[in-house]
Amino acid sequence: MSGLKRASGTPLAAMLCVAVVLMAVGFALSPYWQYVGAVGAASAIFGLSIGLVYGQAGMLSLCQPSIGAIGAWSVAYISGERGWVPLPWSLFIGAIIAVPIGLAAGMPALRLRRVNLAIVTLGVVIVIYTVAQAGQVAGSQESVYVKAPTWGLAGYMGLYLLCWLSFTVLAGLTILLRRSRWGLSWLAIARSERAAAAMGVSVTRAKLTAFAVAAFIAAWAGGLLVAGFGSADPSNFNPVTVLTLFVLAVMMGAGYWEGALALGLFSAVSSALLEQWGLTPDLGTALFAIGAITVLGNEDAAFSVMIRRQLAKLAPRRAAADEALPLRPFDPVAPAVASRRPADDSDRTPALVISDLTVNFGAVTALDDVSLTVPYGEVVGLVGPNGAGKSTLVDATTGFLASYSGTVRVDGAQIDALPAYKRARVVRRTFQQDRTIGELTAEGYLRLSAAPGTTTRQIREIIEFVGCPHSQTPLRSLDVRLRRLLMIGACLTGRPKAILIDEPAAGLSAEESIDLATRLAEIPARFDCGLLVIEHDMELVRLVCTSLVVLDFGKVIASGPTAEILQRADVTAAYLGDDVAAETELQDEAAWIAADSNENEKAGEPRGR
Amino acid sequence: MSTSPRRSIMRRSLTLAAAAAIALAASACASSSSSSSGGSAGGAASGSAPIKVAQITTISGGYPFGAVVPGTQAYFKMINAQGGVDGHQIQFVYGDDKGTASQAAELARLYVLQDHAVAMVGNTSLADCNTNASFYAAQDIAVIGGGTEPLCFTQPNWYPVNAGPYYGKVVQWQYTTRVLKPTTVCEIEQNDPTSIPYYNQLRTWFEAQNPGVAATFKEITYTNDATQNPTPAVAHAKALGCDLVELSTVAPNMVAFINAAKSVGLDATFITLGSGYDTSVPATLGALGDPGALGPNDKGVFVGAELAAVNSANPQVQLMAKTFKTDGVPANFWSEIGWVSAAMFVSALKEGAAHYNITTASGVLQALRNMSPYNSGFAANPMQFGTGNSHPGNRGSQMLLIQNGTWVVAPDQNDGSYEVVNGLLPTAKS
Amino acid sequence: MVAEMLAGLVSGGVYAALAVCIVLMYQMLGVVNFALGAMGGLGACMSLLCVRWFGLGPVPSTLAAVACGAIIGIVLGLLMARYFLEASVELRTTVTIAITVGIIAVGDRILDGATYSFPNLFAGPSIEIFGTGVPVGSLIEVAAALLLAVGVQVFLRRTHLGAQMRAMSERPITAGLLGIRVRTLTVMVWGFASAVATIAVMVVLPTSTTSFPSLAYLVVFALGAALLGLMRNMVIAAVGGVLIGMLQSIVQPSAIGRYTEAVPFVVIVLVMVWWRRRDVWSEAR
Repeated sequence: MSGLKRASGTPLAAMLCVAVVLMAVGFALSPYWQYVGAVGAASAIFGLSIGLVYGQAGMLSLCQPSIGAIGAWSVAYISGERGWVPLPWSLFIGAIIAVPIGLAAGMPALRLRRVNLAIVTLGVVIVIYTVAQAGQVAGSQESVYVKAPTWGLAGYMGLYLLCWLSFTVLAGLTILLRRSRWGLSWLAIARSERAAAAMGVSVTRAKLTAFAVAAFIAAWAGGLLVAGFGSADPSNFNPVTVLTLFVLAVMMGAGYWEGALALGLFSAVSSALLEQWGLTPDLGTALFAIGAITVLGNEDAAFSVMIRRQLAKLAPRRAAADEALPLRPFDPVAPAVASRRPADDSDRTPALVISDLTVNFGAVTALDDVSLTVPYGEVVGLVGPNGAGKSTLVDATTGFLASYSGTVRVDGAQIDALPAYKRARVVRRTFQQDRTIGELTAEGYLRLSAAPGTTTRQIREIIEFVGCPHSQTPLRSLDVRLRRLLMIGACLTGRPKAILIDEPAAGLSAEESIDLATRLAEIPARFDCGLLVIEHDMELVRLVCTSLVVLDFGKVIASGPTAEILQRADVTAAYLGDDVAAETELQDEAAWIAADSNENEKAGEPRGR
Repeated sequence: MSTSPRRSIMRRSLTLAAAAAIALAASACASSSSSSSGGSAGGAASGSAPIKVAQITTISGGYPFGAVVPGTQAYFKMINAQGGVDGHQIQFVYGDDKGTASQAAELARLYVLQDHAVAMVGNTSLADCNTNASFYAAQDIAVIGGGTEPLCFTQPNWYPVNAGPYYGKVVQWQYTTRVLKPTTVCEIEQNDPTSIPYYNQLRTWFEAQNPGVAATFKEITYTNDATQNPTPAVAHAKALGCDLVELSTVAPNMVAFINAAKSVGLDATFITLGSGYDTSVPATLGALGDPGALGPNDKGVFVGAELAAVNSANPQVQLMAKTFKTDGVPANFWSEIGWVSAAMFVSALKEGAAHYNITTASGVLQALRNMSPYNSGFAANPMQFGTGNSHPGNRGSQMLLIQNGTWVVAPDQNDGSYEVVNGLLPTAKS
Repeated sequence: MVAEMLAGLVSGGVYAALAVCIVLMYQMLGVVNFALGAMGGLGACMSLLCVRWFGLGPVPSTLAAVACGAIIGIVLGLLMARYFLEASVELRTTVTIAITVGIIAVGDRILDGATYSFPNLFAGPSIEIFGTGVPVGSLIEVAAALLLAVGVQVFLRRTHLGAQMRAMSERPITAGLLGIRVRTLTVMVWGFASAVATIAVMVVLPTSTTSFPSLAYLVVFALGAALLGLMRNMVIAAVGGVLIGMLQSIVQPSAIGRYTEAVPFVVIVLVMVWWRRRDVWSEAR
């Protein structure tokens, strides 16, 4: 929790400052501008809602402001028609009522691809607008009036304060959530749902929490509209208005609180000015559209992003907070690490046992009756030519395939019935492609991936262990090598029993590979797990793996201690083709393969797939 | 993506942002006492304080109310040229609320709180009545304009110069029952939750007053003519065997309905409220507008023009027609509303100038409340703001019919030239 | 019931034509074009301006409108090809949402709600079917949408240019490197789709309200129909469009008539969730 506070400290303080200033400024404004400002606050809150679902969680949901209608109707009914509870308490009730509706609106997100979600949510906008116009729902009639609170203040100051206080509270909520586990999981699913699930994040829960919180926020804003206009008018939720808000949110980068604030101020002020100048509001709308398209063409042009960049340049580099971690020395010259015997723990249940795994993609058999064992304390290598089925095996083991036959046991327990994110509690994997979450820092990334109860200190130790010197820099600013290492680190924080690492050395230089090898070799003993490493780099394989399993065309063609396997003819044949194997001396095979891989490396070709 | 498109987009967006920031800053400095929004029909202040008047109308968004603005402007221009009201020039501003509550609310507060307008003249908006009613009441602002929904007819500060859905409907029913005598009537209504209960109430009342009529009525409710194609409703009317279709929609949609009727093969007479009175309708419909175009049952296209036809012989109407021609204002129901609203306003102020300070809102309100009945020349009844809680003044319509590409006065009107509501209407639920 | 179903062909025809174009653009360009209805509407408005400003007759102004529609598409296609060629599907789709908002702002200025004479070429006379007149134009539109769907699928599968276009949609950069003129093809598809949308809107214009947003909203139901075709099958999208039109038409005069516009989406969501109930992982994620 302390990490949470520390990380949120600066944005929260900044937001509070700005909010206090805004509220103070209200006293100096004329009633008309107070009114405009109040409406702007409501728009800003809608911006927070859209920013959460789209800006943070990456879901193309167009219906957030429409869910505001639920809040509007609730407030109109509770405070207006029935007079049960006055404003502002009815705002809270309305927001709560909207949560299940937001969840229902989010259900399609669980199953639909992103653009399809956009279509469905546009449908939701139409549905809600239709319901609003029909006026049959309690509180949706134009004739149900609500009085805004004045709190004894002159002009529209009461309304102004209510709206901006609401913004302050809700923006504070989004700032805190952003750094919390929920917020981290939102950023994760925005980047890659697979990676998120592989880290143990329940994608379903992440999506639903995003929708639930966003609905709460939007409904609050809807209720404020009723306070401002006196009744729930359907025109507030007409599709063009809703889409315009979305477009504005894109333009301003509403995923950050300052973007949402900018949205509110900009839309309010520009609409007021256009009114004053006697120009049509359509002009503003057209400008927003152009602005949004510009931002989409270059996300650095989003208002909040521009602000952050400028501030980052002005403020002294927060390197002090980003303490250099005591570095484990980068060791390119490895001692002969891997001529290890298989460990003596033969009585202990193996960390991972795959039995008779068969995977068919239509007519193609990707894996045919594959069995392998990864004992605790050992590193098993999985090698084979491209297309042999290695990644498929990892997908199947970790729950990323819809169906397969055979069993997967981790620490003796069968996990086949579990979905991917649940399997991540006991078995973790990395990806060949970079599926780290760029917006997160190393610490945030690892914290998201960590098993419950992992302390910050443990996380930092793991960051140090994998050799990353920066814990507070966003991942997107780190080079590929560090990101790969952190992907492995993320697996470690989950305290799994088995880890499957997919081509960790791809793209690394020879020295970097050796450094990686020493770290990998230490993992099983230090973290009490078993490691399965898929690799093409035979140098690394020889250094790290105690035993090898060779796959070719989905079948295990060899398995056993490393040195032995590397000398076999059929292994060479699988990699290089039969004729070459026939020509080459058996004893020179391993050396040949190693030399060949080193050459490729020096020529700068990326390794692996 | 190569860097240069990125940079140029970046540069462009920065320029946009900078321009916006400068513009906003400049106007924030200048805006506190601005009263120059919208168009203005006022001359320079001539020593005595001007009377600031504003209008909020739904100009864009698919409804043709936009013509109200030039109608009002033309009248005020004429009055200002004659020296204004009691020596005060009229300063007129207007804004487009696009039918949305947020715009309507902001405009009202802009004009009243910031620009210190003393009255709203000519308001014809889908959102204004509902959104701003309590605001106007609290600020002592009187409104004279075109009522577009039942709520406009039940507000203490609102005087609609048109007959509106109550009277308009009853007038329509009277005329059809008495003169057109259809066998089966299909009523295609806006699905507006505020008006349907009133409509039902009115119909019950009317059927009680006119036994035998109930059997001919068949209602079709349909959702939203701003977005829905009318063909299904029209096909349904044909399936029900209707030979008269009653609408309550604006002119463009009426044209759409009649086109749909032609394509579906519905043989019926069409009749609609004053909102359908637009002089370009006959031209748009062409031959379809003439009696018999849709079939033997088609007695023509009728409209209950709640204000006199623009080619009426009445001198006040002729003055308007002439002024519109000179000023290039389109002549239709909406511009008439704008003109007549202004005319009634000015008449009340001229009368009240001696007793009240007509440059203040409360003075204007008093002048209106205490005005004598004003014969506009456009309506079946004299107009009088009065002191009641609601002011539905205009109780009649002039039935018009398209013939040979133009609107003509329909034959056999109740009162000679107008259909007027007989008897008292049931009191509206609020 | 039959009367209403037949009446539904009027809207159904537009939905079908637009739905086919939506799937077309998705398959060929990797974008879900939310702006298609607005583009067609803007093109149709051009016919009005031709009548108003230049006094052209129905035929020239119709042709001019279609040409304008194509030009609007070409301009937008150039924008997309220049700045968004490598972007994700979601990003491009979001751009079209912004474009929709922008075009509606412009269209609202042109159509200010007064009655207009749009050139009425496309609706044509009606044929009586089971006692209800159905405009020939709508029948042709439905048939044309289906033909277009079938034709495009054949084109994509069987012709060399079609293969190029499929390559382009999967991997624009690679396709470009192979010598496929990605930009040209992108712009052509945009122009074509926009022209088709303009024609589709003009068929339904005589019975449409002249509120510009309502023309833009036509695309919403077309999107629903495209979704039924899983963004893949143009024929199902076309049929879906017709069915949605008919469904709306049946619901409109009924007791739930006030929810007419909502009904298609409720149906679509239920259908989608059922069909995709086994989907867990979004592809390439």
